[in-house]
Amino acid sequence: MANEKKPGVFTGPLWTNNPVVVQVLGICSALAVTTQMKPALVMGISLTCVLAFANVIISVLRNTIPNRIRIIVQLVVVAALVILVNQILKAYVYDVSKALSVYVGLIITNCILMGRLEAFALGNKPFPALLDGLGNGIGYALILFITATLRELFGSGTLFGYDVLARFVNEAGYDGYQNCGFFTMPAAALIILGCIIWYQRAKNPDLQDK
Amino acid sequence: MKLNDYINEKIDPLFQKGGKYEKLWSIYDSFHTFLFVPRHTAARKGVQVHDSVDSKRVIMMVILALVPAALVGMWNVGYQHDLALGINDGWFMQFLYGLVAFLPKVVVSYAVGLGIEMAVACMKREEVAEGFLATGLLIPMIVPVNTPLWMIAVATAFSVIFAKEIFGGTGMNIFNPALITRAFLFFAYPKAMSGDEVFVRTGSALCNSPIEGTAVVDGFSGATPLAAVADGTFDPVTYSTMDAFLGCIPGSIAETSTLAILLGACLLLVTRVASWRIMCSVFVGGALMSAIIAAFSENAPTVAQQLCLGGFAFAAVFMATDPVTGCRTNTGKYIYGLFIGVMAILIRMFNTGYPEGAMMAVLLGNACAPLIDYCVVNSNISKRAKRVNA
Amino acid sequence: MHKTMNRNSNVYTVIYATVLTVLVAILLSAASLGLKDKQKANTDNEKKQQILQSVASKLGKEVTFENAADLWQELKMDDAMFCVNTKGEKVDGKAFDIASKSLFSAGKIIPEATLPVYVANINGVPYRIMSMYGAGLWGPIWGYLSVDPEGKVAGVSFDHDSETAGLGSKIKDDPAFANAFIGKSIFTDGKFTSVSVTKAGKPANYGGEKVDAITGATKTSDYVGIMIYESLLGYVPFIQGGTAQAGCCQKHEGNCGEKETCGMEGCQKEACTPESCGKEECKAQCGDKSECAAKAECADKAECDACKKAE
Repeated sequence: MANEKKPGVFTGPLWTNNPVVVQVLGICSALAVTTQMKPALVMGISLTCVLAFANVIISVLRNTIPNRIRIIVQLVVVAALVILVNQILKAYVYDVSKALSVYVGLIITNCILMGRLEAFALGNKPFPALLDGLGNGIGYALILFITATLRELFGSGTLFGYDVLARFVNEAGYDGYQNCGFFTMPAAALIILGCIIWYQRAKNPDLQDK
Repeated sequence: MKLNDYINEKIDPLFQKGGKYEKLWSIYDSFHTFLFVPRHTAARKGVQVHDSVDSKRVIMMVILALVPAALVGMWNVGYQHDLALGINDGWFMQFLYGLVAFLPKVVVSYAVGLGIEMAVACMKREEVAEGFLATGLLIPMIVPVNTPLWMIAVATAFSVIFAKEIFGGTGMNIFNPALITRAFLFFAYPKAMSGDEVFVRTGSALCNSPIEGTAVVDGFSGATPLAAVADGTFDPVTYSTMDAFLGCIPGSIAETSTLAILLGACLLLVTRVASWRIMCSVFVGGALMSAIIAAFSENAPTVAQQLCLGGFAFAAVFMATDPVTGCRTNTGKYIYGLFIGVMAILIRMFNTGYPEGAMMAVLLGNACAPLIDYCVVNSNISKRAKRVNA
Repeated sequence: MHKTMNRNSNVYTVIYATVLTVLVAILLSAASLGLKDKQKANTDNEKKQQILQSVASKLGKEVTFENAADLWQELKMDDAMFCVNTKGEKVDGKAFDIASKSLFSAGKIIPEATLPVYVANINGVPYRIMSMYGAGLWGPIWGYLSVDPEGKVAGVSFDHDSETAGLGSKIKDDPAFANAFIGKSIFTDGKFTSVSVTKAGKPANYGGEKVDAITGATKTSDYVGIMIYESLLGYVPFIQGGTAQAGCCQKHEGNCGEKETCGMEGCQKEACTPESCGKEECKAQCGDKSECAAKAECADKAECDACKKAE
């Protein structure tokens, strides 16, 4: 682990070792917050921040943490950061925090976090840990963003709340684009994630299960 | 047999390996086996069934069984149209109206579904699987008459790709593709799949554009009786069971006439294409559950009404009996059928968001089928093991 | 790594945990205190927006999250709210802090509940805004309804937790649905008949005026109808304090001759308590027994039963 090259630490999780589509972690929030792009983006940023800070903090403390309570210490750090993020969202972007509802709180239980803390931060110096946190967070955010773009575009005909499909077709005097309600449902997110995984495995044969 | 020889000698090599149209072999093969009984049956060695009844022949039987329901369904489309506008131009014109409304849906469903299947088959250089021949006809039969063609196209494409091809094609799918099409439509475009306006076409036959000088009769409601059940406005006395049995009520195109569906069921049972165990136990399960509900609630439909209304009979005869997605063990088939029958009525009566429970029940049954089989097989194993050990 | 302490000893572990917990607690308390005002302002603002939305048509402009606070100030709403009980008497309490959810138990208003009332004075007309809460198809729905002094709806605003996007969610997103309520009277001849929400072409199930259900979202619409009825039921004595006479007057206009004379004394004594109005009305409507039982023309079942006995 410690020998991993720094660029790999950061760029790996973006695609070839993506936490969502390769390690298949953090799926529940990926299904829940991707109906609209704004919450997905905020969720991605929130998780990236929490993960990067948590990684750094745990990495700094790694030589002091008592082994028997290390999971608890990790949880406390993550929980504190998550509550902080939640408070800030509630104060400054109220509508988004409403859309995210419980899912910000559930960052605590996001498997990506515990996975990275346990597998990387505990055994690496702060700077690689920061890169690892950023890489995994952005990798997660990327998948969320792709999924949310497709879901919002076809499910609501909008992007970031602006009419895209509906507007243009309507002006031509046709019935207009009819929103496909299926895309607003979690099942659609699962299928889109599946398609991303499908595409990725097709492009990277070494990721395919033997 | 001149034609046959000609095909075998001249055309066949073009599509074989090294031929000019090698890449299109799948398509050629599919048409060839569609029109001619295959030349080869199973190998002459070993214990195998030496019969020309391959799955194409089986599926032709399903399609034949669907014909009565489709014919009555088409007539009913015209009949409901006439009722809505308060006119009567004879059964033949009503049938013709329904035909014009129905045919484009069939064409779209086949074109999209077979197009995708053929493309996939060509890519994999496999035979085009025949499963879609039945699915393609089932899809237009179980949608409301006013479903736009593009919706059918989108839903068919979705179901062929995501319910069938990604599982490995015909014979490998977990869920019934025709029902997935309907479920997709139901969740993606709920407005087009429920309400008062989708089940009866009041405009022109082809595209439902308003006809000048006509108007819907006052007080005519195109809501299905099941929608009335969900609304709580159902009155078991005013809805005639006979109408529902013969098929002159609003509903998806071919699900209305229980009589025509039963005709198809007879054909399926006589030719042993469908499992009588599943078919009967679905009806038994449905009857049981409706009897229980009818005993406790005054305004609930009677048992006969439950079985004749909506898509229950259609689902029991054509959907639940799909051998690919259903149970394979005999005991499992009884459990599977009962489960679907009971669930269909339960969903219909207690989840008012989904007035048509049969679709959901069969899909749920599909999901449970492997589990049921697993339990049946395992209990059998443990029973025998006990006998051995005793 | 130089070890000065055994990281696995009990003492170290306990001290470590304590220090960590205290540090985190301090950090979080500080954040919470620092951001509390802003957060409170946000939730308050949302509530204000929803309240004012119910009189938006009278204000003649849209109420958004941004301008809600200013409009609230402009209308001096802070001084124009109070609490009433289900008997219609004013009681003490902070109207704005009452969560409408807490007023209900099993879908019915709790008899001893303290109900919030907001009064928006727009162009000299006081609009009383009442809070509603109920079950929707998939989750809770809530909203505010304003009535003018004659008991006619001046506007409504709805919100929901998890109604079907594009269908049930129209109760919030489709202004046409909310606007359909405007001008409907919640009293028929002095009797509370709410505003029913039923499918186009179907009669009002509470016997008064009705609004057409949203196509494709009949169930959510039904629940909106139930919510309005059940929520307003608690407010009826309060609203009638100001509108009963007006309603009765219209009914007894013939007897009393002119409206002005009808207004206060004469009519009121003879036939104008809400109860008596209701019962007479019921008798007249019910006619024979079977009709009375089947149709819910008489809003109140108890009334109807009384009717039957009287027959």
